[in-house]
Amino acid sequence: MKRLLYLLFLLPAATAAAQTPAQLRAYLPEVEGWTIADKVESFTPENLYDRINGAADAFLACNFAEMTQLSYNRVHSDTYITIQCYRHDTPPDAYCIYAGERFPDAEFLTIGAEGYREPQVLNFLSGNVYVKMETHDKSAEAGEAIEKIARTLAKKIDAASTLPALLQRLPEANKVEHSELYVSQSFLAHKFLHSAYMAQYREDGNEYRQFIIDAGTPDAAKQMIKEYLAFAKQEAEPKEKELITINDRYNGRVDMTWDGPYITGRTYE
Amino acid sequence: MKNLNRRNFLRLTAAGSAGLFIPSKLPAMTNRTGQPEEEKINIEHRTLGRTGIKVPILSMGVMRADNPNLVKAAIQSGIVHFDTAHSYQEGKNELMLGKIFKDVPRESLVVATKIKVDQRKGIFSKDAPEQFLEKFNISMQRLGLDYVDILYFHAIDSREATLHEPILKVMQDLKAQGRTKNIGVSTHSNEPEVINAAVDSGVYDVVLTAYNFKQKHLPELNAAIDRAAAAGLGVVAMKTMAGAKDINIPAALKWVFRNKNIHTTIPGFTAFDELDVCLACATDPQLTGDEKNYLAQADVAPSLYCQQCNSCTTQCTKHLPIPDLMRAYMYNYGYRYPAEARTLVASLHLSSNPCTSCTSCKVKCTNGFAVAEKVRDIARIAAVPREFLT
Repeated sequence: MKRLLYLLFLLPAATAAAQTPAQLRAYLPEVEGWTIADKVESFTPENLYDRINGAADAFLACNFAEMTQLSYNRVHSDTYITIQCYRHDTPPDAYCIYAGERFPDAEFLTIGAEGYREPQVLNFLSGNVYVKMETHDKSAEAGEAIEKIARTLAKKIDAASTLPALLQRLPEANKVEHSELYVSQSFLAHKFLHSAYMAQYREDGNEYRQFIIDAGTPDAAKQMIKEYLAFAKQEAEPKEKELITINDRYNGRVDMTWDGPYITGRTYE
Repeated sequence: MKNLNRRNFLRLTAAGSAGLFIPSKLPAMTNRTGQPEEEKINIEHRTLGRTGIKVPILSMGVMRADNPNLVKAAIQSGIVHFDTAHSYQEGKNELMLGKIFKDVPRESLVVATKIKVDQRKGIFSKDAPEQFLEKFNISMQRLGLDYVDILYFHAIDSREATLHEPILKVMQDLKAQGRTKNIGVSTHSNEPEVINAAVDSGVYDVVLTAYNFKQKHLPELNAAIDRAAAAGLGVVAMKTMAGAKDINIPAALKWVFRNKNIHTTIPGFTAFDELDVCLACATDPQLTGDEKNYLAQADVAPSLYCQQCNSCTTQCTKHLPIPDLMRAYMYNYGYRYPAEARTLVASLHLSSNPCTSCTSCKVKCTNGFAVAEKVRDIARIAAVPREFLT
């Protein structure tokens, strides 16, 4: 129900941001020395497996809606650039898979909400679309082309794209840069914990993770903690803004508290 | 899309994997054959063909799991076979497993990874073998292993690709070097063609195939699986939940367990309670009445499920009990319950081919069944000695 209401709330924006394969094709810029391939392929949740095999599971878990595959061919060459645009239901869903595939030590770029590049690869997030670009052409020209395409595409998809606002509620001190993740379901492999944003932290040689869950309402937050206590077979009445320590037989010690609709907490290595 | 030299060795030290809550070393809980040493639940084990590897019928497809504690819980529950791929989570999946496996005796694990070499317009590039080898080396670094138990040629959908000689040579070389114990092919499109090609190759040891009760081409797929098993190949099933969110997990999984030529399954559970459900299914794989009904009512398997509308009974000039025969057909080819099918057919007291006196069939099945063909296929089961059937 919560998800339905959320989607209804987002519907006007989501509809406006929905990119059809034809639109995405039209967004592609002209790049000297490269031609845009005529072939435009699209994949739905039913056949994404046909294109990316078992990796599709992770996309489907993040409410994948449609993938459009486009490409550029280099003139007088057999090299090419492939562009895969994964559209998800909402921007947080797109962030879910983008952040899940991102490595913190990549070379990050200000493209769309966020982007990064590696040799022959450039991936970025814009609105509810996660774009993955790749080429096997190792030349500088290919690197310049791929970045030009990315910057144009990111603005066309959603010029005002930003990272999910809830990430700002995670503490900045000691946070490992670009380690944030969004787990869209079964956080800590518990279904009752639904979804969470989390990040890695390092402090005095110790590592831990901070997380935040938006339960929707204070009552839902309290109920979630009560379910966790019941799972851990701990008898306690959770009180708002008080620290609760869960002794999770799978995940070890989990410290958490709730404030309004938000549950914040920490897990340890 | 080409996958180039992306996740280099430096990645091995990156804190990129989701959910690194690995608190302690894992106990050595299984031996090489996957046999339980202590605290193990009672799960049927099957031998993965000529590989000789004995595994529980329940293994773990790790593709979606981003919490290492879930993998650890699976290990502690007696699961020994873990299936990943070079491409899953851009390599984070293999990295996560590597961090877990370093605390587990290598001989207690059966590890599989998969390498895909992209094609353009159905053709592998000239450097496909180099790509394959480069990806394999990166995968081994991520996993932190000297060898894998199964190396799959990933996501193959044609006979031609299955038999692509340059890749076969790379895999055979890796096997000769001991860097993989066995080689296999994975497929979830045109599976019968790929499986039959794998058998014909004489090279592959294992096939990993999509297999679930919703597939439209089950007769052909079952025939290919049976042939592979008979040829000594190990057969592993994936996509057992048919990719549906609202699936009846116990029914779907137990349906797969019924096929003895499927040696293990790799469901991709992502939560502890899903693991518990899968373990319960593996411990007691008998379908309940509700689960049988669920499978029977699954409208996505129309080629097997008779609606029992009885409109055929008045059309058949021999007044055969066609709905009963169609139900028996479903028991045998759908549920893999040949004993139950035989019992039902025997109770009808028919000859081994009751259609033999008709030159053509007058029955027009509302579900589009080729009735005479199905009657011919199932009626003869009554002649099979009961002790040969399960």
